[in-house]
Amino acid sequence: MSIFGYHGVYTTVDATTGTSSQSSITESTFRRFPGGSALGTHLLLEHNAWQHDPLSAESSLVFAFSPLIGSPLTTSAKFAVVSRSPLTGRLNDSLASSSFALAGKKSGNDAILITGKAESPCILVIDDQQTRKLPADHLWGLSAEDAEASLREQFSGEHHFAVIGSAGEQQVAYATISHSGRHAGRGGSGAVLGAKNVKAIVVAGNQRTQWADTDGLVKRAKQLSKLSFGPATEKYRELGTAANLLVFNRLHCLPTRNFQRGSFANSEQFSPEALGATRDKTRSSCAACTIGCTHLYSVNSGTSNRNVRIEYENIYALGPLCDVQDPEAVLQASLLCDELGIDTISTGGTIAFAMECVERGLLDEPWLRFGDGAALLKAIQLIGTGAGLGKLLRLGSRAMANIIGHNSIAFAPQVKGLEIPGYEPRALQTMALGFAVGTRGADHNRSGAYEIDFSDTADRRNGTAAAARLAVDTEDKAAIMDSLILCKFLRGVFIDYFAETAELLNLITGWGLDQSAMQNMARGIIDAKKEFNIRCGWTPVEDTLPQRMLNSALQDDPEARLDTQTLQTMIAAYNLERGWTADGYLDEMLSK
Amino acid sequence: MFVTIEYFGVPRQKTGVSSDSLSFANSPTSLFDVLTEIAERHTAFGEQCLTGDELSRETIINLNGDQFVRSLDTQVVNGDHILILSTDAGG
Repeated sequence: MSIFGYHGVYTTVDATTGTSSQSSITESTFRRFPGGSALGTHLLLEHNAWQHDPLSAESSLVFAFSPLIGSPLTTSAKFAVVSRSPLTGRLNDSLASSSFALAGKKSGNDAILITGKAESPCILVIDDQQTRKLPADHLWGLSAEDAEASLREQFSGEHHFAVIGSAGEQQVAYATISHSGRHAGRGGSGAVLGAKNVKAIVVAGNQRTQWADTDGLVKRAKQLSKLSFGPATEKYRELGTAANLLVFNRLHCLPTRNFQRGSFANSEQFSPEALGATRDKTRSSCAACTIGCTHLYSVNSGTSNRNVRIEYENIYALGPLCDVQDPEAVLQASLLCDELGIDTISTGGTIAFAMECVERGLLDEPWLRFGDGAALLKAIQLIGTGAGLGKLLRLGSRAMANIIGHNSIAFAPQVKGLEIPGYEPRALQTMALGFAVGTRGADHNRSGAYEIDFSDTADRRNGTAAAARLAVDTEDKAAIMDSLILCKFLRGVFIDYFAETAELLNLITGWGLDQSAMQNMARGIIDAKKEFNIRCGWTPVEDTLPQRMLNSALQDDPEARLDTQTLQTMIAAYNLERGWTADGYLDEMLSK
Repeated sequence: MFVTIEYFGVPRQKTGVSSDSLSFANSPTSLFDVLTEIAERHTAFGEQCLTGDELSRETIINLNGDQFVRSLDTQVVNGDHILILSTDAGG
């Protein structure tokens, strides 16, 4: 019997042989792990993926779809890529959007699990015909964008592609998987695919799922679309996330010069208004999205002008974090990251760390100075080629620090190996907690704890156990959003979040879930992620921040100071609120 | 007394200015009175800023770069800076 919203199966593709097999997924599993990050995590646990080096042939990588994909609900065309991360060694779940999600679901699968390793470059095709492995020597070395263009010529218009760039091929630890200019960006899933010699996953199909209440779904989808044109999403639509930069700068929570400062001298030049004043600017949307947050700015790429997508995080990481004050250099750097297929946050974080190592005399690369846009571009090119310093830079800041020594780990801007996004932890202390305990490392998409800091319920520069308990709720909401899957930019339109997301899932599945069931589901998802990490070898000492951010104040905001004891108190409160032991273990795992 | 209003994001776009300096006869003055004055100056933004007697969900206010406030009874004194931000800090 079919399950509303689901095919009830996933396909495992062995890149070694090109063979595939289908396995069923029960309704009881979907009720706990409805899709996206949750389903991917569950399948990895089922396959004991925690046992394997993420870059080995035995490792597994899951493309997970969701019950909402293909429905008329706005922003629901999203997919998750889940694996053990080569950057962190822990669970990594990255999300991306658009037609690949729609086509992947129509291939008749709720998830696709890739394992094995091809002898030579290949693509894996999963469509209505037999799953197959095709040679991809002609694509090897191409950027993701160029490879995708080539694949469009090779396949029908119904096929869509998740592709790695040259960085993925070369197993750069923070390589991305791309689709139509969007990226499953964090944690190095592109390297996992590259290690399997897989250049692209190709999906297509005509298989549709049924919905429990189609009329109700269409009606609710229209309401949601209307709300998505309203003030709750206006910032994303009108300005894009780049608008955050001036706010964060004003509040001294814009990480600058490798987290040495919380404000940046030239921030006004990076505002959306200033960036758009001297450049062509266009907007676009993902498939099935009514928000249209993508703001593209024209940038000179050497031989021609090209459009680059600009977000707060890529400006922050390639601009203020490296103290580069030239917007053109930052836009060019962002374009170069997209071409290579590397995560902009980890790229900027790693280069900023290297710049400080040079400044301190720990690295003999005198050309790599804070504030030098040309040096920033050269460093990214070296990441692409792996020449010279590129060999170190492509490992990420934690691995670099371990090689460089001299306690440079104290100022490597990472948690669990994942470079920290643009939120200064000392000035946003609930977010500091979110970073410290995050299962994929320092991350602003799995914890929305900054929302607590930006509210009247907490003092952002004085973290408390009470604020930590509130942070759990933001993480739970993100877990649901990442599993249904809906875009987080939609979250502001929900008044009663868990009740409304239950309603959406009920319209698709007919399960009759309520608010409490969704909250329990969220808790179960976070538990599963934590279980994966514990099985990988996680210990409580990982839940912390770089030493730089503990026990000393921000240079430009003496009141922004986070001591170790305060962070530990918050972590214990967070763990207990989750129902774990105070140091973060799952009781049920301990009892086993 | 004088207070400075700093606009960011959508509020800046809607008001068309990055800041205002406003004067009030009484000190302290409530945040509600300040926002009412802003709404009169910048009609397009004012419609979105207040929902009746409450701060709209879409508006975030910070006082002097320190605490975030939602109560419109919050008292503002001479020299204060009121930061008005778009909804949603993240991205």
